[in-house]
Amino acid sequence: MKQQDQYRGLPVAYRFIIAALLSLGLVLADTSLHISKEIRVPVDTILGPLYSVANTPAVAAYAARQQLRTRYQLVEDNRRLQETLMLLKSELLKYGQMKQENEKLRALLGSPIQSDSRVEVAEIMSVATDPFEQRIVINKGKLAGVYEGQPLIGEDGIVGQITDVSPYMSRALLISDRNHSVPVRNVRNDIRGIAGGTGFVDMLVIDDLPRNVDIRVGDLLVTSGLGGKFPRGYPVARVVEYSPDNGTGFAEVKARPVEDLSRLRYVLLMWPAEYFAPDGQNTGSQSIDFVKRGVSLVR
Amino acid sequence: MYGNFLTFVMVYGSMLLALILNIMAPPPVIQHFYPNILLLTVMFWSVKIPRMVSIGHGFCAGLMLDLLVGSTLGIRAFAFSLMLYMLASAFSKFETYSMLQQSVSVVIISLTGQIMTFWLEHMFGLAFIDYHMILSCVSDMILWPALWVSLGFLIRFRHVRNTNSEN
Repeated sequence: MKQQDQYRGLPVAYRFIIAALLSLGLVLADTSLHISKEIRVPVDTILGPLYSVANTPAVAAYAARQQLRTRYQLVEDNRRLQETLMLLKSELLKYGQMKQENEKLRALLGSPIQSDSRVEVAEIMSVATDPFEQRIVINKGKLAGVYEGQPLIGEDGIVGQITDVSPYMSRALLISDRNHSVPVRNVRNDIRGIAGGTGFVDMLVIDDLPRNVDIRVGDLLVTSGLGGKFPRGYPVARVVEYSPDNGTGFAEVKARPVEDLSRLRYVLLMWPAEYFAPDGQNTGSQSIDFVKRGVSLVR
Repeated sequence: MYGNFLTFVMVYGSMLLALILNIMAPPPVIQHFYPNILLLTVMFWSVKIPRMVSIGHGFCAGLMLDLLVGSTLGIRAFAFSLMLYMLASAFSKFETYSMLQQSVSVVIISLTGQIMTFWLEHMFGLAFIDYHMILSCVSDMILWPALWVSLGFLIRFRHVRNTNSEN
């Protein structure tokens, strides 16, 4: 290292002061100017092979487990999958009809018709991330069309959203991170709120709801689509704790994400069709839609 | 002992390997016990070859880790610099310590670094304390003797080769 040669004669205290000033300067520069976002693409391109190498044992272990499965297990798996597929197919028969009906009704109401969104499967790379944050790294990047702020869903519900995009990989923030919030709606009575992460994978909190709010344990919260990031109607969490009195004047509502965020292996990248519209016309009409129907925000 | 190609390969090779091991996500069972391998490796070299590996290397190793885990730049760089400074100043006779003393010193240094990392993350983000970091420091303590012996073998091998070629 050049720096090392330059300061070879310096006492350790001076070296430490230089290193400390440099790193604290970096911290300040990063927090105010977000330089790590700017240099993310070249850095990930250079350090990408390191991620691949670090990911190899996990991939190999998975492959080995797959190889070592017995015939019985495979037959059993196959049977289970066939069963699930049949169930889903029969559900789908209903879905097609209901979708048509829904579109007709929406047309009657004059609401914008929700068009289908595109999804793609991405694999989670098993590399370490900041232990103080809830993040994942996935193996699809800009070349696959991933964009910043893109919603990620799992098989049961919302997982998180993309924060950094590199050509071959991207990072995502989970909904349980303390820096993440997702606008939600209670399915039972359409009460809206904002579910914020807590830093624990199995806990979200819905802040700022009035103490007399009608929320019960077991209520399903789905995305309301108000933030403009997540398409509406996807399950987020189920209420596990509700107490009207926590001494702050607001109700205390805790919810558990429906997706098990600690055991993710594959996620679905979603390109919501409604946000592809030029000049964001559709997203605008979505909120107008709410105003028209005279629904006021619960706040 | 330094400035030589083989030493160069040995030091940076082991550091690169340690970096890769460090960013590998361990199975969930041992997740909290996963030691800070990169830190231990840099500490080892800074004890053995202090004129080549010192705070500058700690800074670079920490910065690499910052870039790879995607946290705020400079946080681990600062923590690593601090830990190597502690090692170089407060534990200046480290190499002469008994293995137990060394391991205990490693825990003290590693825990200080972890707390410093948490503190900085807390100041510039929304992190909150995770007491599991103590477990990884305990793993550091257990791993240190193994690392000391195995990397020591590397040095001995290199040393023997060196004297042979000089004769």
